[in-house]
Amino acid sequence: MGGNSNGHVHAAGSDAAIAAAARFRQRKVSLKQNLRIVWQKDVPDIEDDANRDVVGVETGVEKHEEEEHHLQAVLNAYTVSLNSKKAPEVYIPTPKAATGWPEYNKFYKANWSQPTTYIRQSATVEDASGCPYNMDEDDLEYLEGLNKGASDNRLKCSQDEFEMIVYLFESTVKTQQPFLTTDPSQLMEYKDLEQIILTKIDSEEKDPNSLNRLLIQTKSSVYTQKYHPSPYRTVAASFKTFGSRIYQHWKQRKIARKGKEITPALKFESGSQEDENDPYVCFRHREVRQTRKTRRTDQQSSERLRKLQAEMQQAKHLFEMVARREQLRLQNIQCDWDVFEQRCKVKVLKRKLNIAGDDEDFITPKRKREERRLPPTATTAGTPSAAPATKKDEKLARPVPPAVVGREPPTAYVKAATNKIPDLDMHTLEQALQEKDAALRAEVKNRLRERAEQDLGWVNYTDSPYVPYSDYFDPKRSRFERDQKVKLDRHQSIYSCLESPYPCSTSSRLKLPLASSLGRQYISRRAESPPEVIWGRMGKSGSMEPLRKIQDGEIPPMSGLSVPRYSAVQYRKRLDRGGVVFLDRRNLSRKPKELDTPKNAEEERLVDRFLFDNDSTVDTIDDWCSEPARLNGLSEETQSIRFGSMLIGKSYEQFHEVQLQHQQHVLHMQQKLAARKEAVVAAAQAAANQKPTNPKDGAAGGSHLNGTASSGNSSSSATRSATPSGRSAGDKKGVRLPGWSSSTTFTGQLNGRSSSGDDSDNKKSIGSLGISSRPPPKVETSV
Amino acid sequence: MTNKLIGAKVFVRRDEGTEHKAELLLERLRKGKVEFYVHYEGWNKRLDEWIDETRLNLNRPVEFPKKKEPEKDSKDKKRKTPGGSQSATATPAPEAESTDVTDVGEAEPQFDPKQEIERLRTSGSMVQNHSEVARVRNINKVVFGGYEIEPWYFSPYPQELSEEDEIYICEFSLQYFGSKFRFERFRQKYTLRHPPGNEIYRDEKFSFYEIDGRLQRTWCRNLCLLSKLFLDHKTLYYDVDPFLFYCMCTRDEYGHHLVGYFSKEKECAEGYNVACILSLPPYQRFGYGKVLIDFSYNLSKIEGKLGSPEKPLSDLGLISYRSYWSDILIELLVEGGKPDTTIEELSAQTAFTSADIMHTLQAHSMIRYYRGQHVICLTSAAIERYEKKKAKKAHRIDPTKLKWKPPVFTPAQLRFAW
Repeated sequence: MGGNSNGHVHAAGSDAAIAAAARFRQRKVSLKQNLRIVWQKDVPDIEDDANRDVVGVETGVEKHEEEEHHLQAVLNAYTVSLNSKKAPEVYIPTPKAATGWPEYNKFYKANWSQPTTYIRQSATVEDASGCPYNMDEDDLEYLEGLNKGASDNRLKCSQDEFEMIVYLFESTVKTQQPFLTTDPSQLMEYKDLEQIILTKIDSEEKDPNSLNRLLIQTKSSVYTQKYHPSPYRTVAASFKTFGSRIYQHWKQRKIARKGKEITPALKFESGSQEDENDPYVCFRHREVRQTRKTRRTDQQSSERLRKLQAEMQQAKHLFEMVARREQLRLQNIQCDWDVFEQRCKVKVLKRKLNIAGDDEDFITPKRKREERRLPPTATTAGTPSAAPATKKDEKLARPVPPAVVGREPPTAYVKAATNKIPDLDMHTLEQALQEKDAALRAEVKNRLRERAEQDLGWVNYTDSPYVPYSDYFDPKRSRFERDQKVKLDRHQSIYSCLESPYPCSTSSRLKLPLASSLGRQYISRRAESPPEVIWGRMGKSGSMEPLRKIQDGEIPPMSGLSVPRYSAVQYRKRLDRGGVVFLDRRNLSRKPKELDTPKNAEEERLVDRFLFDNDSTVDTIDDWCSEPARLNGLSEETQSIRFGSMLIGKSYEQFHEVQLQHQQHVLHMQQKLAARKEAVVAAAQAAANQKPTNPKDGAAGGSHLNGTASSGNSSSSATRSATPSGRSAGDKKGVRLPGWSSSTTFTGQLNGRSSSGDDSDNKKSIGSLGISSRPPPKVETSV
Repeated sequence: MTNKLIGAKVFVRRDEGTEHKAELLLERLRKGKVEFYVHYEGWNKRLDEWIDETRLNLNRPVEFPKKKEPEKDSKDKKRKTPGGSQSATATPAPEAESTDVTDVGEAEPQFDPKQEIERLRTSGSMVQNHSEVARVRNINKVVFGGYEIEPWYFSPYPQELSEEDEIYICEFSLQYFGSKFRFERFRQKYTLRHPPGNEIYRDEKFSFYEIDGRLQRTWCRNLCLLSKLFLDHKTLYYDVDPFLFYCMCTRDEYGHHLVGYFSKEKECAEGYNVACILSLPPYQRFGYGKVLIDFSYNLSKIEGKLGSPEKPLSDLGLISYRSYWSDILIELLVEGGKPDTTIEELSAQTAFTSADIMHTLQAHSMIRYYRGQHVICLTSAAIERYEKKKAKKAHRIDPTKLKWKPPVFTPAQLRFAW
């Protein structure tokens, strides 16, 4: 109809427009056209065509209504006012409304307080209105009759109970007999109804997961309002008590209503033809064309539904568990409270009877045990646990009989520690700190490991490692140890490649396993290992030589894979026969050495001979900084640029500082040593003369050692000749040093921490020497 | 004799002492007296009433109905309210008169109920004129909150309620009761003090709630039933699911009192921003209708859409809307201080459709043809109106207090069959 009428209005409007156009000019105004805004008073010559304009205006009101008297009156009044004449105020009359209802306050309570925030709410009318059945005057009359005999309120059936019972009848019949209206006489008998209803109530109350049960336990107001109308009886009991009597009343009404619900309900579509023309049928379902569904979407949606259901059930389960937990907590708290109260009573009694026995001592340990279990409860349920404390305070404040005074305070003290205070405070601070520390550590470790893993397969040839060494990683260790670490690190980790004397720089020779093994090394050294894990060195053969305990086999067998390394200065302490201690020093050899290629025995021997005699070589920073350049075949220029840029990095500065410190330290040590030198040398010589070197050698290092044993004719001869015996000593100790070149020795004992030092006498000097290992000390071969 | 009178047009004495021609629609017997239900010719249906037999003036000429069309009659029989035992002519006076309008003739009388229902189904709207609407008011008196209100039109409350002298409607749940005690019991139990939805606006005077018909079916149905008492063109043929209801409330220590509302389709193909709009009779003539309208356009502004009320408008609706449109447009033109503007620009500023703007300007004859071009003329009447409004200080919606985002619905949520 609306559309039709709109059409007509349009038609009428256009008619008017046409008529207007015939008499005047074209009226069309474009929406985008600029329209000047003029004030009528400014343009007195504007024609007053008000009357004409109103004609064509579309109202949007239905045609026949548009012509209604009162509307027209108002519209006309409007037009009149447009012409600046005074028009009477006209209204469309409406039926009388809005007389105040005197009983308003009986039904509505003026106790609403306005929330400050905007209200957000999703409860429906049904949620908020309790039992859906509301009794009317007839019910009231019946109920009064029912309760007449009962003197006690407890025996009376309350209105809430009545409504609940009728609702049970109504709802049950509605589901059991949906077509009752066709023949109301078929209404179920009380017996059948009772059975169904009682089973329902029973199952609901027994089912631990039912909403009702939870509501019962929580004593929720929702429940009491909706499901538990009587304070005296359970639902089942109410029903059993009054059900049969109320049934009669209800049945009468139901039959009088011809099987329809007792509360008048809206008429919905019933599916019959008559629905269409029944004005009382309302709120029909809208039919929608069924969209074609493929099987797959069906499946998907059903799956989704299943998933959703599972999730919902899980959520429900969670809530139930939470509810149960809270109940247990409540019980727990209640128990505590009871115990406390009992104790209070005991105390009072004791005071009264002046007993000063040690019963309190008997109580407190019990209490303590509880405390240990309690804290979580106590913290969550703050108030109840706080209550005893305050009570106790009161008691303390109270004057106490002198006999008890002596005892009271300690008891009170223990009690003061109830529930809340004890373990939590002391532990948390410590734990928190520890945790924080651990977390930091783990984080740092992780970062390092990640970085290392990223670098797996890459060899670092730069002079400046991206992670400069920092003491930070091991704050626990002593200063001395840290120094050691510096040294070792330099040996074993990041500098390893850099210092390698071998021309393994060309990529063709760099095999992946090698690189990866490096990576692993890196990891184990830098990131994971605590300081004492591994101290080893790369032997000439390229295998790892553990000099000290290896933990958990962190280093995989890597023979043939690793790149041999070469450190700036190396020392070896040996203990020869007669308690003579040798200290071997190996200097930096810049000559690339081929592995396992004894080209020329003579040459080798020569080299060997001068190996420890080259005192002129002083390892400076420049020395080993420039080394990589040489390794990589870089020009000096490039290298200097690199170096320069490296200098910029803060990391380098730090390193530099450390370096300087060490040098100073070494110088200091040298001076010290020089003072002692003479005496030591004398003693050593005497010993050496007495016991000539043992030509027999361990098989392991034989090939590398050819000729070394006998070739002692320089000042360092003693040192060299002592080597084999040193090794044999090593063998005796069960540590194999297979890859050692004759001259390059390095002892684990150098680090001062070792407890396996052979000689306590020498320990000191060696220990102090050890510190200075990196920057080459200008020490004559000792011993 | 009375039987014959049904359908006839008779002059009826009014309380004011005047006489007005009215059509007798129904007859009933009350307390031994015969009463007629009359529709005054040319007046709105809401003024239809039961009158005592004695008020008929049979001395003046009685106009008997023309010959009835038989098939139409049979249809009418079915749709009559039970109160009307006799069938009456369903052909109302206005329809007969509408034949006067020349081009209207062909479509109007051939009214097809099936087509009408189909249109309802597809358009989803609720304000179409549903042919099946009974023409006789069925509820005598409504006690709503603190007011006793006389209903204007038929509303499909349970039939049993029409037998009651007055029905009780809970102000907060809008639940209806024929029995006072039942109402009392319900009031004792009902806990809410405001419409069951989210408050999206609050200023010093009003609160607005947004309520989804699908989520609050009972409440929204109750609201529709209630508003049907005062809206002729509303139909409750289909359910409330496709609508959102924006309810305006005043606040006091009793709670939030519903004073008016408008409904809005969740998805409107025609671009209407209001489906039904009503301020409840006790709160009429306070300018609340314009606050509602203002609110609806504020929502449209947030949505970034132009809006217009769904047609047809009722007479009161038309007056309110015209007045609102005029107020806003004149204010904009006067206060804007611009030398010129376009309809489109006005449209963008106000969220009114350009058609509504054109109509409003034309109704005020503010579009003039002056020296060869169209101009917008601020007539002295318009200025006078503007100054009057300014002095009155009408309540306006403060957009900063509107906490609302246009609700988004999935296609599945917008399929309303279930």
